[in-house]
Parts: sequence; structure tokens; C-alpha cells
Amino acid sequence: MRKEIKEILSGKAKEVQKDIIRMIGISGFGPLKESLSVVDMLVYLYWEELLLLPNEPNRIDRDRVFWGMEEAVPTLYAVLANRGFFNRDELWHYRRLGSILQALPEPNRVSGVDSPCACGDQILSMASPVAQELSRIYPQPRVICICKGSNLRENFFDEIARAGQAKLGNLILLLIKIAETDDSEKEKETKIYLENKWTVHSVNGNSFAELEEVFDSLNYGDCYPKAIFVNIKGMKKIPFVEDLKYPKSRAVRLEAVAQALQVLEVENEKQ
Amino acid sequence: MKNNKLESTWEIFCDILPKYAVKRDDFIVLPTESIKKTALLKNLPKDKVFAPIVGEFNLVNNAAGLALAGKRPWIISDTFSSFLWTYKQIRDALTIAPFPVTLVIINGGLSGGDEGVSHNILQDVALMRLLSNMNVFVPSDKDTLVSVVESCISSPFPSFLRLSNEKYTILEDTLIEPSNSSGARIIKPGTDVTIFTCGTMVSEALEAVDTLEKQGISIEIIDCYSIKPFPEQQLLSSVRKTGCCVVAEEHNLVGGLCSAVSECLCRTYPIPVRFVAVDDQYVNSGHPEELREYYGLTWKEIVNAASQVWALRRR
Repeated sequence: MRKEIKEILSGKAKEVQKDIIRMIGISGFGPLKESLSVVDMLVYLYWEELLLLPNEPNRIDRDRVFWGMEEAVPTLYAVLANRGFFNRDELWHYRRLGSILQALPEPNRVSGVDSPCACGDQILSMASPVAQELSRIYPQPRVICICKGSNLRENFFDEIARAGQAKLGNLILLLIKIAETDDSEKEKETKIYLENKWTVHSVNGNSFAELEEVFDSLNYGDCYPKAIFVNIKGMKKIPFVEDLKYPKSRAVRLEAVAQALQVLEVENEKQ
Repeated sequence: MKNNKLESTWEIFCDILPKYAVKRDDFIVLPTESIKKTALLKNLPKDKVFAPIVGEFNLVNNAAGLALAGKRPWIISDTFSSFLWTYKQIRDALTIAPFPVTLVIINGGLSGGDEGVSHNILQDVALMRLLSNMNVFVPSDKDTLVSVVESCISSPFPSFLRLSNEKYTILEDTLIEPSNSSGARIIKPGTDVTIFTCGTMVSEALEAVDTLEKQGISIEIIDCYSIKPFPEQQLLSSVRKTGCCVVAEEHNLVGGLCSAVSECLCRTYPIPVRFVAVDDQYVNSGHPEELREYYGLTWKEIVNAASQVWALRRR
């Protein structure tokens, strides 16, 4: 990956992280740690990898994103806003009554959202028929399904089997593994995917260069759905905001947000 | 009053659905395992059936995905139990957004009688009615079924369609008013008691006509094939004339057509109402006819209820 691109992506990731802290800080609610963890991966996807044009939502050949991480919805909102799908000011109304940005995204409510947000097995069963339908188009639009790679239920693996049988080469499943170290589990899982005719890849979700390498290596002509284990380091604790609870006054919350942004700024400068 | 041949709404459905399947590009069926060997699947073009299916649990989400891809999916199951254990998925994946997915059950009400309590689910209409954005239909014959299928095909909302595998009288000869977009039609006009009914109970209501006429009570039978959206105007225009109402349905007393009628009348035009439905209880196994007799879902109960409510009518 070229240095300039890496710098641009790092800058975007920084902006998105700040927006996540602001939106959760202002609303007083929301999952912070996991949201901040997946920023790099999502920034890479939306700025570098996916064919997604905010002003052409009806373009048939655009890629689709199925979001299955309820714990990281603020990241999706912040990325979509920064990518121009809707006005960034909407972020400051996150989880408020009447706002377009509710706790869980709705496809008819938020521009750029392709599906309702659901847990792993549900989101994959929604994504795979879409991949199947879109596979009739040439060039095939990709369907990216993003979900947490732990606590997956039996139904999830039923759908893995179905997608393998249906030869959905345009289906990419990103399994997010945050601070997971158990390699034996990963080996078992890999075996299941391979048995069901999936290709399996692994990547450091905090590295733009590695993400690029893995996505460049995918072969879309092979009719195999693709599973990518995205390993993410545990996010450092952001002080102040993390301890915020709703009953605290808005002034206290805003002060804490300012402090958290300052901490993030210092950390980024060190890097 | 002359009735026609015996036919089940499921048989009619198997006959008419393939015609829509051929006509429409966006049509697709997601059958549960038990449906795969039925006449319906044999009549459908192969490309209109979503397969292969591994596990029924994912069907609802598969349907949501297909709807996102621009299709109009039909999930067809033999009993309501498939939808009972995916109820949360139906709520989250189909009704919130909402998506134009139609859920169909073959053995609605007591049709699955022999299979016992897990198949005789008399809470289906209530559970589906509870979901915002969900339409609920209980057709009684070909005319209403065609009207319902057309409204499912054109609606942007999810729909639930309760069919019956039990053969009962088809009402073509007695039809006074053809079905329409309002969701209800008058089967027999009258002046003294309104009988508001749906599905299999329509033919029971017709059986009650002669006995009540002999007692000097003229009944107006309304076939309410759309439970939600509820045809308020049809009900109100009838009860303003009769001043009393009997509701007859093959369902639990709670949450179905009885509740829909009560909610409407309490709010707008309070009058005496009697119900012919299963008391709030789970039903035993048995032949559907036997169960209807045992749980009081016959024309005799309609006659009793109509006589009682007529004596109390609003004058």
C-alpha cells in the first residue's frame, strides 16, 4: 500500500474515532469499545475497497454491506456520515427520539444501510440470498457480511453450508475477532468452512496494508464464498467517556468527551 | 340457500398461485420441508422455488434477504409452528423495515387436528395481528383468496395468510357481493343480527340461517377475510342497522377477530356482542370436525349466540 493512501486512511480513521466518541458522549448511551475497535477495518472498506457511491444508491452493480454487529453500530453511522451518505450533523442526534440514527440501523431510514442489523446467523441468512440474486449480474456485485466471530449458533453453520452449496463466489463474510487468542478454536472453525467449500483467510484488522493484501488476493471467479477472520487487537481504554452513564448531566458528559478527544489526539501524535 | 362443491382453501391456493408465479418476475416461494412434496411445488416452475434449504430456522431471514434483492417471497408452511419458533425473526427482520414477504400456513385453526396441541395453534391470528405493519388474512373461498393473494402481491408490507386443508362448502352460488379491497363482503343481507365471521366459520354461519329465520330473526352474514387491516366501515354500517353482533371464528377467544370487533365497537358504537370461538385454552387432538363440535364452533352455537344477542340488541 502506498504511503500517501495509508496516511489518508489513518486520517479518516482518526476523524471517525472522534465522531464516535462525540456521538456516544452526547447521547449518553452506546457501545464505545467495540465501535472504536472496528474503525480501521470499516474505513478501509468504505474508502478503499467497496464500490459504494453515496449519490447512486440505485446502481445495481454496487457492493452491498450487511452489518451484523449490534455492538458497533456507531462506527457504521460515523463512517457513512463521513463518506457522505447523510449529513454529519445527524450523528449528534444518535439514539434520540425521532432521529434517523436509532440504536439499530434500518435500511429504509438511513441512506447507505443495506439491511436491518441482526446477529450473526440472522445477518448471514439475509445476505446469502442477496448474493445469490446478484450473482446473475455481470460483473457480480459483492455482498459483504460483517459479524462478530464468536458465539455463533447452529443456524449460522446451516447457512454456511447452504451458501457453499449455492456457490456464492460474491459473498464475503468478515468474522470479527476482537482480542481472541485461542488458535485451536480458529482451526476447528476453519475446517468447517473448508468442508463447506468456502475459502478461508485471516487478516490483522488494524493494518490497512494487510487488509489490502487479503482483498487483492480474493478470486471472484472461483465460485467459493469467502470467509475472512479479521483479528483485532483489544482497544485501549478511553478514559472518562467509558464511565459515562445517562443520569449524569449533559455538561459533565460534554466535558468528558472533550477530555477523551484530547487523550486520543495525544495518542495519535505519539504514533 | 344453495351451496356449491366442497373444496379447501389450500387446494384453491395450489391452483391459483402458479399462475401468479409465471406472470411475475419477482415471485419466489420458500417452502418448509413438509411442503416440498405437495401439489403446489409440483405446479411451480423450478426457478420460482428458493432451494436448497438447510434448516427452517433461516427461512425468514432468507426471505428478508430476497426481499432486499427486489423479490416478493412467499414462505409456505404446513402449520403455524414454523412461524411460532421464528417469531422474533419475523418481528425483527420482516415487520420493522418492513419487507413484502407473505407467510402462508396450510393447516390453520383446527385443520391439523389429529396431530395434537402443538399443531392446533389457535393463537396464530392474534400473534400476527400484534405485529405492527403485518397484514392478516383468513380467506374462506376462491373469490376471497384471489383478492387476498392480489393484495399480498401489491402490498409493501408483510402479510400472514391462514388457509385450511379441510374441505368445506364453497359459496359461489350464494355470493351476494364479490370480494373487494375493503376486506369484508356481505354473504347474506339481513336486518336483526350481524354475524361477523371468517374462514371455515363462514359456512357454519350459513348453516344457521334457516333455523334463525324460523325463529323470526333475520341475520346479516359478513365474511371478514381481512382481519388486519380491519374493515371497520363494513362492520359499523351493518351494526348500525341491526344493533347487535355475533363474532364467529376458529381461533382462541383472545386476540383474533373477536378482539378486533370488540376493539372497534367499544371505541365507536357500543352494542351487545356474543362470541363463538374457543375459550382461552389449548385444544386436544382429534378429527377437525370432532374438535369443532367439542369446542363449540358449529352453527348451533351461532344460533344460540344470535338468539341471545338479539334479545339484548340496541334499539
